Amino acid sequence: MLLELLICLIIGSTLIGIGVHFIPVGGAPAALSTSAGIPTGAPMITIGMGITGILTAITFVNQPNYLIIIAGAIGSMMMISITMFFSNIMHVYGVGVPIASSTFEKDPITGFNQTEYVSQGTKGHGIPTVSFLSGVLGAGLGGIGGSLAFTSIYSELSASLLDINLVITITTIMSLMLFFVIAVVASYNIGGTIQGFYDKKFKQKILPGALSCFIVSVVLSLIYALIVWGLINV
Amino acid sequence: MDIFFNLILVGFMALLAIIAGIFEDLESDVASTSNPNSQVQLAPQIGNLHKLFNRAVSGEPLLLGTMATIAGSIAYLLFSLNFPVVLVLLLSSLFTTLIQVLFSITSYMGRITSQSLYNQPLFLDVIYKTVPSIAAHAFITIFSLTTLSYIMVYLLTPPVLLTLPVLSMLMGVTIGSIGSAVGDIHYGAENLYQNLEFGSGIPVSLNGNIVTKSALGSKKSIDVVSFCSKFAGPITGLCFGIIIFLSFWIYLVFGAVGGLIAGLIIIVLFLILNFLLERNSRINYGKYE
Repeated sequence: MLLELLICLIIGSTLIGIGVHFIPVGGAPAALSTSAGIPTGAPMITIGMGITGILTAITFVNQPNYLIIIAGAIGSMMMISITMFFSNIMHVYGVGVPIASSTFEKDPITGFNQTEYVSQGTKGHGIPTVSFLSGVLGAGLGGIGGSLAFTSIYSELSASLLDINLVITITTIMSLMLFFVIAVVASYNIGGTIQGFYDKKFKQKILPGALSCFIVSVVLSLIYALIVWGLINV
Repeated sequence: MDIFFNLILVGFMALLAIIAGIFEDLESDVASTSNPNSQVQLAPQIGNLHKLFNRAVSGEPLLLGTMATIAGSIAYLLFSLNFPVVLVLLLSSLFTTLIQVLFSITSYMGRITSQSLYNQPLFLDVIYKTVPSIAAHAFITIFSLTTLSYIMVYLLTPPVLLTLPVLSMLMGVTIGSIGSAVGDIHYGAENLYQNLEFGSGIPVSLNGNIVTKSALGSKKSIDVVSFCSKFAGPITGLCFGIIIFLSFWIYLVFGAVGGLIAGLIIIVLFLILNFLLERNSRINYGKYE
C-alpha cells in the first residue's frame, strides 16, 4: 500500500515539475510590459492554480479516483486560462500594447509575426496564443499531478482515520506543499522568463528540469510516506 | 429548493470574491507590494528620490495567505466560543488588519532606512497619510475573504470539507496570485511610467526612472490607488469572481461529469476569446513605430 503511495507521489510531483516548465512566466519584468508572459513568479502562479485544482478535487472526493484526477486538472486549467485572459486584457486596454513575444519569430498556431509588434528594448508583452495553450497544458499536467498526490494520500489516510474533515485537511495541506517545493525547484531551473513549449529555451531546460524534479520528488515522497505511515500507525 | 439556495449562495460568493479582488489589488498598489515595487526600490539607486510607499517583503500570495490564515484562525477560535457570526467576522478582520498595519509600517521603515546609502529620506507624513488607506483596503479584503470561506465551510451544501483557517489560507494565496498576475501591470507598466508615451512596453534601459512628481507636489501612493481603481482593481476583482463562480456553478448545474465537460468548454472558450483579443489588439494598434 505504501509503495503504491510512494509511486503515485513520485509520478505526481514529477508531473507538477514538468508542468511548471510549460507555463509562460514573465516574472517582475512582465509586470512592466518588459517581457512577455504571466507577470508573477513561477511558484506563485503554480501554487495559485494548484489550489484551485485541489479545491475542485475536494468536491469530487466521493467519486471514483479517475474523476478526481480529471477534476483537479480541469480546475487548474480553468484558473490559469481565466487569469491569463484577464492579464492580456490588462495589457491591451490598460497599457495599450499589442500582444507579442520576441522569443519566437512566428506564432505556429495563429501565424502572427511577433518581432514587428514588440516595443523596442523589451522582450514582448502579453501572452500570445501558443504560450496561452502551453500554459493551459502545463496547468493540466500540474493539476493531474496534484490531484494524483491528493487521491493517493486521501485513500491511504481515509482507510484508517475516521474524521473525514481531518483527513481532507491533512491531505490538502500535504498535496499543496508538493506544489510549493517542486515549483521552486522548477523555477530555479528555468532561471528567469520562459514562454512555453515553443520557446527556444524550453528544449534546453526541460530535460535537466524533469530530472531534478524527479530527484526532489523521490526525496519528498520518501518523507511523505514516512509521515503517512506515522499517521496511520499512531 | 436546495439547489436554488445553493445558486444564490454561489452568486453571493462571486460578489464577495469580486469585492475582495478589487480591494486586494488596490491594497497592493497603495502599499506597493508586488512585482512593480522592484522599480520603487530601484529608483533611489539611480538618483530618483520619491515619496512612494515601499513594502515588499514576500510575494503577494504569501502575504495574503498569511493574513487570511490569521483571520481564519481567529474566526475559528471565536466560533468555538459561540460568538455571533457577524461579530466573529468583524473581530477577526479587525485583528488581522492591525497585524497587517504593523507589518506595513515596520516594513516601510526597514526598506527605506536600508536605502539611506542613496540619500533616500524616511518621510513620516508618508506613513501618516498612506497607512490609514492601507488599513481600510486590507480590512475590506480580509473581511470579504473570511466571509467567503465561512460561506463555503458552513453554509454551502455539500460544504467544502476543510476547516476554516485552511480554506481561508487557500483563498488568500489564490487571490494573491491572481492579483499579482492581473492587476499589477496597470501599476507597474502604466502608473509608474506616465512620463512615457501611452502604448509601449517599458525598455530595460529606463528601469528605475519612475515618475516622482504629480500634478500638485510629489507623487504619493494615494495618487496610485485613485489611478488604479479605474481599471486594474475592477478587472482583478472580476477575474477572481469569475474563477470562484465558475468553479462552483458548473458542478451545481451540470452535475459531476457534465460539470467537467462544461469546464473543458469554458477553457476552449477562453482560448478563443484570447485569440480574438490578440488579433484585435494587432489590428487596432499596428506595428511598433
